[in-house]
Amino acid sequence: MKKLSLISMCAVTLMLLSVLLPSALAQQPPVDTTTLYVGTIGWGPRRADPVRAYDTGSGELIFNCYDTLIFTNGEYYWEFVPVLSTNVPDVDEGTIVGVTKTVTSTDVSVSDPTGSTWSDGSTCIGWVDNHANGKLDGTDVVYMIESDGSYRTWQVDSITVGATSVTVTLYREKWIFHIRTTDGSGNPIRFVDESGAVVDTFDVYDAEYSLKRGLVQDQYGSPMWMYYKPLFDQMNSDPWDTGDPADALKLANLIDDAIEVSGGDLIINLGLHFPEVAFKQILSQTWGSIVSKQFSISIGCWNGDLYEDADVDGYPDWFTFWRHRSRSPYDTVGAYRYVGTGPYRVTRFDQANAIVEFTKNDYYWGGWSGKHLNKIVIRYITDWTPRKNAFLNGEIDVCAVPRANMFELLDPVTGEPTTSGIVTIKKISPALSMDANHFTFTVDEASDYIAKRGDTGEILPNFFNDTHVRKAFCYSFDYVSYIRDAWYNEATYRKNMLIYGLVPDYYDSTVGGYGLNYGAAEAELKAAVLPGGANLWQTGFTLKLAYNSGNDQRRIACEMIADFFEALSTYDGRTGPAFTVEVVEIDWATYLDLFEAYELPIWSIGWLADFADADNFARPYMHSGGDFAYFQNYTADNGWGSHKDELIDMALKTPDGPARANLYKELQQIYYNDAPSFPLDIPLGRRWCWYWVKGWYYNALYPATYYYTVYKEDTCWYNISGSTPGVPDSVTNMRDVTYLILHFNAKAPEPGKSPDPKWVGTYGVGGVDPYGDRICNMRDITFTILHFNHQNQP
Amino acid sequence: MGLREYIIRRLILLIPVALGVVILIFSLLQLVPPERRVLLYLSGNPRELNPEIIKAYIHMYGLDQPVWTQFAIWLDQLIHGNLGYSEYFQELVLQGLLKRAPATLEIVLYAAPIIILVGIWAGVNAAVRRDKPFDHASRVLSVLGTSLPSFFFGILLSAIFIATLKWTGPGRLTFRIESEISSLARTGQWYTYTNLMTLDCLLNGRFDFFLDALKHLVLPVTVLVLINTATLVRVARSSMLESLSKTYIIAAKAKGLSQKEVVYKHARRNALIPVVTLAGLIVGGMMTGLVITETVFLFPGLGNWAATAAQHFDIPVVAAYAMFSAIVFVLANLIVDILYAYIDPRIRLG
Repeated sequence: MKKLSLISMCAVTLMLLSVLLPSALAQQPPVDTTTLYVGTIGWGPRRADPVRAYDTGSGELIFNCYDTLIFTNGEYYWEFVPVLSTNVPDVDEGTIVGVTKTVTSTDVSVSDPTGSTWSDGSTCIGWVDNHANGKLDGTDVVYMIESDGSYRTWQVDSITVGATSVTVTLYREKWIFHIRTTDGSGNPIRFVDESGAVVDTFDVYDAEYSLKRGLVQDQYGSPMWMYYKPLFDQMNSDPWDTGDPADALKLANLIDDAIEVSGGDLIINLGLHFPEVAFKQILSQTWGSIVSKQFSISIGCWNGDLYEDADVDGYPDWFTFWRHRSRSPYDTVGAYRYVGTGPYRVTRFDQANAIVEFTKNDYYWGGWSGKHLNKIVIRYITDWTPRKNAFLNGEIDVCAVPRANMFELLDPVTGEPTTSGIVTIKKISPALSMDANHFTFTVDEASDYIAKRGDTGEILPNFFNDTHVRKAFCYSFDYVSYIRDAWYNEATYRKNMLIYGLVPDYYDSTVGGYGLNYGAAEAELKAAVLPGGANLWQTGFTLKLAYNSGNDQRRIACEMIADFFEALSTYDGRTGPAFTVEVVEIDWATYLDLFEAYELPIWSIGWLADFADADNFARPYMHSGGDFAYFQNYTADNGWGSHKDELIDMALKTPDGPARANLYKELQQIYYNDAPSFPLDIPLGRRWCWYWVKGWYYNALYPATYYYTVYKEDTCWYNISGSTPGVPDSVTNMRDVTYLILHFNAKAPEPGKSPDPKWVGTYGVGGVDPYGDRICNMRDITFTILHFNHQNQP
Repeated sequence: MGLREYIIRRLILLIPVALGVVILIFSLLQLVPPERRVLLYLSGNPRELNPEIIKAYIHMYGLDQPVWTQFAIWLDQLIHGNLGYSEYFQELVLQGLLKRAPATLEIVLYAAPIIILVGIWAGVNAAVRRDKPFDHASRVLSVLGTSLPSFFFGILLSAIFIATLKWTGPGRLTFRIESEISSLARTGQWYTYTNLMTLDCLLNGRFDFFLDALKHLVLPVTVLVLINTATLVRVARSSMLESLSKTYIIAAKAKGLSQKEVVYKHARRNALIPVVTLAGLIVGGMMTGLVITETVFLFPGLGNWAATAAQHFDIPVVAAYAMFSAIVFVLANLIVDILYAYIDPRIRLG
């Protein structure tokens, strides 16, 4: 017992010493400027293969390890800079070339041009009927074998049908990239693996292979539709999976000729007018990452041969082996690979402890002059309390702060961080994302959530197939209260799906929208006539409105709708059966299952832009095959106009300008008339970090931070004087002190308002000299530094 | 029956208990669809998991067979030390268990002696000084300790000592040092001997890291001491009070023994029997994971592991954790019984 006591006493003493000694020896440890510590939510990386990864968590790693041909220019996601290409393709520079040809055929059938021969010796081998009218016409797409044997995709710009012949003007686009092969010093651009070893040097064939590999793998749930669309006007490779190997071979040829090498140039042949900025944005993102052909083949990826048929089944081997394969050797479970030319390499991928580490790629062709980080440590800390504590004590430099918890870090009066040195950047926009409430036009009759008549209890599967009902619900939403209560005023909204930040912005403010309006809701419900003649205003209704657990914003939105209809039940002296909306909480997985099974009458899911073009919002929200419209039954098959689908496809293929703007205006009008969903919010971002984190900028398309520009610098001890802050001029004056105060994120007192506590005591309200000697000198600077709990210059 | 026979008998009895636990867990696992359960059988990294591959595994491991066949196959896997593959943590479950158990063990190793010593000392002294200020104070503190949940203390202490005073931090080490160790390990300059961080730091000759590891143990250990000592104090006090009222104590006092001798030689030894039982259960309970304490302090032990697995429906980890907990409890009970029998021979003879 005595021995145990002695050991315990020793342990306790040691533990106390371990805590107290460092605290006593150094009050303020110097900031480690070589390594950035990031604390974020949950475990992020799900996939490592750039052509499969489609989530921001996976994107963060790929984004910092690989390069693309071109990249967005800093925060300007609509401008571009060359990366592995030495040029950004441009019409004026002749690196985006529109190719047209006008050809005539005498053996073409406009109801199916396949097999027709044309005056230049080309043969049509397939087509896409954009208008779904069974007739070849403008903006349709045809696949041709040219007279030189190449396979091309063309958009029909115009068509003239004569008595015995058909003449078409066809269009495609050639994008030319001059490939970079050396860095500024003439050294080759190198691919490095996770250990830092050079595995290959970059050339044009790596770029060609990278883009083709994505088309070949065409995995389910991958971003490859963003290439299939501009190249072939398809969403994936499935149209060529007809059971006939000849069709698979056609696709092989089309892919081969869509991505070509010409000398040192890479040429991408777009088969249609595709918005230029949008395609550049596609190429700039992680799904445009360039991998090493040699390394990829060495780890067992596709061998680069589009025609090989080793098993002699008639199909190219890739078509039966690699296409739709769930995982490639890059993201084999438990053995992810990150081998790129980018600024960082993944030196630790520790899923068990939820830690990822990046280390500087010493061979990075962009160089390391200037200020950079050697290492980035990302810790995925699910629980808020330990993440917050690690942030507050300075172990984490950048922290993900849930909106609901942000007030724990903010002063309730000033709205600024209560911890000196912590910086928050507010209302970051544009977010390029939107939340909306979607109506399911026809609900599965077995659904527990289905609407029922309020008087008889009869189920109403087609409740939201009636535009009046949808509009009545659109009028139930109070945006001002919602954005205040659910988003603490850190969100905005627009009347339809064309959110802020799209390039170009085709939003038309003259088109109508909805908002809280009891009278209008009453009128719509009176107009909603049920079979038998009664209207919903008379019969009332019941409906279950679901939100996913933990999503406070959606819960608040549901409750607001429920409250509205409760109030509407007695509005204007009404006495009939009530409008009852019951709010139900369900887990996320069930929520997803239910909406996909058409069981939720209303559901809400956010949409994050793939590229900042109107098509990327109009299509999911309105097109019959769109991610949302499809699951709403807002489809041509359900009687909801193929015209909108046609407009969406035409708008995509129409060059930017008034004609395209008019198409989107019409689509916005249809959205207003049909009211298939109503926007809830466009969230505004917030960033939290310590003041020493520098170099970060916001780019709405980035999946995460691009760490190459980020650095850490604790400038509290130096560079505080100078005619320009940071440039020493050997003079200490009020400007230096002000610069220092602002550096600590303190705000100058405003007349009539409470002063920032950080300001008080430093220079006092009104900027009083702390020593009262009316001289501004190093003593004042020292006072200021010490006031912020920092040591004097070491 | 001698002590040795008693121990052997208890050890033999362990087998049916363990089998019962396995059957119970297996029965509960039948509620999970085979597509998720199949991970329990994997003995290596599956490299790729898609519906076709899972289907093949289901067939391979007999999950399409009658339930008793499934049980036999699973039991065989368990006997061979295969607890399956964790899809969330992307590692073998046994590997994960062995990696995290030392983190929990380390907290327990530091906390348990303090809990036991402080608990017994305070309980005995409270009984001896019945209705005196010390007794009142210890009762108030023990009521507080037992009634306030561990997350309360955890959050309170971390808010004061981590977030405000910055004396220590979350995790097992400062993030910078943890990252440095990871780099050293990759280059072969760090060897993990025991996975007990304080010990490994000393064995690797890094006293600075050792101090850091120790510093990170202070708060989790403090929380455990506050919570668990409270219970022990109450039991030790009441047991001691009962012991002090026994006739042999009166006899000892009548013999003229000093108060110290009466209390520490005669009364305390007899009062220890229920205390030992409780202490064993407390230590066993702590070893099965400190879900809240580890989560609040970001300590990568078994509790944190199991909680994360449960959140992500990682069936093999949850099943392994359930089995591990059951086994630890059974073993803790066994040890307590043995100690009990050692202290009080009437038990083994009964």
